[in-house]
Amino acid sequence: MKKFLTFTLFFLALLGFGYLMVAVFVNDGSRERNTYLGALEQKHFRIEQLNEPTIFIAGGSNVAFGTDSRQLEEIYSMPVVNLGIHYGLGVSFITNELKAVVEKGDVVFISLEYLLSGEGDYRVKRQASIIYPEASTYFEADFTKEVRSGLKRTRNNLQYVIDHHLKGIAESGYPKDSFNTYGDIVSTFNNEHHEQLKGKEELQYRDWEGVEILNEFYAFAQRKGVCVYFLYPPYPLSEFQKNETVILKTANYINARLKMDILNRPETFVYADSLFFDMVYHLNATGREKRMKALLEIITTKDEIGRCLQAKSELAHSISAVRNLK
Amino acid sequence: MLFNSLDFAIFLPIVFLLYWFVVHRNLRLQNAFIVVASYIFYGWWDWRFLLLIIFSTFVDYSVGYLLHRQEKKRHRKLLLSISILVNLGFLAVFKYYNFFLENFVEAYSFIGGSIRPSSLSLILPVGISFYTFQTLSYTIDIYNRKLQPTKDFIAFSAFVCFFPQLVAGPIERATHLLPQFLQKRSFEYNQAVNGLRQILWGLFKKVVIADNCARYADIIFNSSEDASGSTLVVGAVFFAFQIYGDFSGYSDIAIGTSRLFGFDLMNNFNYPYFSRDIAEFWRRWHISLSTWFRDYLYIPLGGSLGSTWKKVRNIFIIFLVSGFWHGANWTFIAWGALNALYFLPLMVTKRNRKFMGRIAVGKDLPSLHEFAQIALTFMLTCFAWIFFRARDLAHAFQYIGGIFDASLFQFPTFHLDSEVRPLLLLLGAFMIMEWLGRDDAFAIENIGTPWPKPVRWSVYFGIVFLLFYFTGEQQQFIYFQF
Repeated sequence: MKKFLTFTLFFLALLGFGYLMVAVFVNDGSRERNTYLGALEQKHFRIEQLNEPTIFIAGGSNVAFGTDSRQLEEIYSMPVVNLGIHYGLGVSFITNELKAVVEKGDVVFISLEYLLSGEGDYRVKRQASIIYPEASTYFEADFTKEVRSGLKRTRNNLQYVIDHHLKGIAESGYPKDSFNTYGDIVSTFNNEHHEQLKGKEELQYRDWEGVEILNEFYAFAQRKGVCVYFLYPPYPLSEFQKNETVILKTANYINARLKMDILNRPETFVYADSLFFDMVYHLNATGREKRMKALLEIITTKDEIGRCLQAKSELAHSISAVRNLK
Repeated sequence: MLFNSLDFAIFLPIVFLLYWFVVHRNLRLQNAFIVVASYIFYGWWDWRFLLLIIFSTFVDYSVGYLLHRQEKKRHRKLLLSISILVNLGFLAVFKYYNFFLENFVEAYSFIGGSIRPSSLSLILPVGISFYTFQTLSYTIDIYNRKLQPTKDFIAFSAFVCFFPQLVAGPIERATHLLPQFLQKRSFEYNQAVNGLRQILWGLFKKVVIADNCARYADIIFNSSEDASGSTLVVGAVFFAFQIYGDFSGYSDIAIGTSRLFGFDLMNNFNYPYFSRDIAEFWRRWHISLSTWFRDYLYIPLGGSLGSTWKKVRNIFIIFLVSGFWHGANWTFIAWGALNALYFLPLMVTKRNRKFMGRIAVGKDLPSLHEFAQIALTFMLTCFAWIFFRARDLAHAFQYIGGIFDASLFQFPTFHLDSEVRPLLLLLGAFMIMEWLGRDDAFAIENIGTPWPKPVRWSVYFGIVFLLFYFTGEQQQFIYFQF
């Protein structure tokens, strides 16, 4: 037994030492800052520059791909920030992020992927906090999850070093500069539509925990004087047909319980597969155009939203005018 | 808790140290500790699962005790029936109730009727199909007077709930495992080292091979309507490796973990993808289940004795029941039926016991003829796996229809990202390792035994590095759902 324990501990110690050497070498943060999530830093930099009522669009990557923020800004004369980035952040993170940035007079549109996890993926949240340290306040730290995400981070960075530096393979996914200053993804507009969209799945119904989180955020927003609206996301037709029963059941659940205004039905932003770029929620340029047209129609025909935005817009003008005078 | 999880990585060393340093002096204490540790392991999923397993333990312990004291055949049959009803009853309710209900409603509506019964919303307790069969083997063997019941309730409880094999086998026989709980275990260095080696190999099969193949199998199966015939073939092959890596990997971890505690479990997989015909495949795949069905269902039905009609009937019963054991879905029954069809010609022509020995004895490579046999058997198996993996029969037939298309002869068109090439290389290296180790209990059992320790350890470090580098998205073990 003594021999067994000695050799096992020695083996584990060598493994641990080897791991630490690799981790120290590869985990310097440079890779994370240049990845897709690196755009988080840019989005918050933009928020910090703004000093007036703002329109925020929040959600997963469906928002990053499906929004033309400039169009909204031109119509409502209010700055727009697209906070949408990664569904892996989860509903809690997204609403906590909003809580940290919204001020009185802001307007928030939330568009979430179907049955988006309330908790999200710890690894993605941790990666976000490496890029933008303030993000560590948007979720609760958990020791075992820290260890797991740390291991995954080291592995991903090691793979990156080997692929990028030794094999010369470019990192897959969208880099940080895929985004424009508003936080919309624009780099993929000239890319071809992928015949086989990634992310296809068979949705499994559950009583969505996101409703409670959104209601809690809504209460916060009301106290703060912020308008909040919920949107169902854009979705390919083939996936909608496959998951229709689950989606409609989920929508019934949401409609019955969600306190904030819901601006559309799930069918509103269902489009042909050819209007999506590479993944199920990622609209291409034409798809985004169609969606924005539909979204603007919704916003302008629902009077209270127009009034809300108009009031905010007037408020924004007033605030700007006062500031300019100063 | 999953074997490839941080929770288990913390749980195992604690249990190991307490087992050998605190409770080792007393056998009853050691067994009691195994029961406690196993209940913690099992209750980690859901503490409510423990109620079922404890109840099942009480029932079968009592039935075993009473069976042994009972001489009248009628009363003995009644007692055995109680055990069978309780164990299979649990399965029927938790696993099959909704399936039977849905099919009854469909059949009723087919003949013009209409009913709306309420289905049960029950969580399927993890491992129920495994431990119920394990405890049934106890009562059946006592009934057949092959085993004396034990008076030691703690030892019996430990036999039922032993955590390494509780949730996904191997399904142990009471005649093999129970005596090991009734005798003192002492730590053996070689047994423990072998156990660690087997755990390492099992983790490699599960984490590197199975989880990475799962990613591509899922992509292809989930978008099978859009995929070319050749892509669908690739999807079936990926699934074949996924299920093999997953299940045999789990078994290796279970067996290796048991060795750390001084127990010897039965081998569950014997390199099934090197089988030369389907009969040999079924002697090498999920051995604990197939032998269970052979001994407790096939032989009592008459086995291969009697008329040809009876033999055919028995084969179909065995394979259909085996399919149905895997899940409450017509796809599993279809999978079982297909395997029965594969097996029948061999049985009818009395060639089902042709390949009983080792493959390519004394040779480095199989002959061309053997290679062709292995390839054909593998293809037949992959074809049957389509039913196993498909959502439902319609999906399975759509998948098969997609294969037999002109696009079968085109290059596969699914998203070949930069990670699939290393995976294909790994699969090749994996099969080579399995081939080289085909005469051992697991591929790396004797790897490098004549080499110096630093060289051997370099191989182990290499495997750990591959484990770390190629870890796929964590997937639940497939057989947990059974």
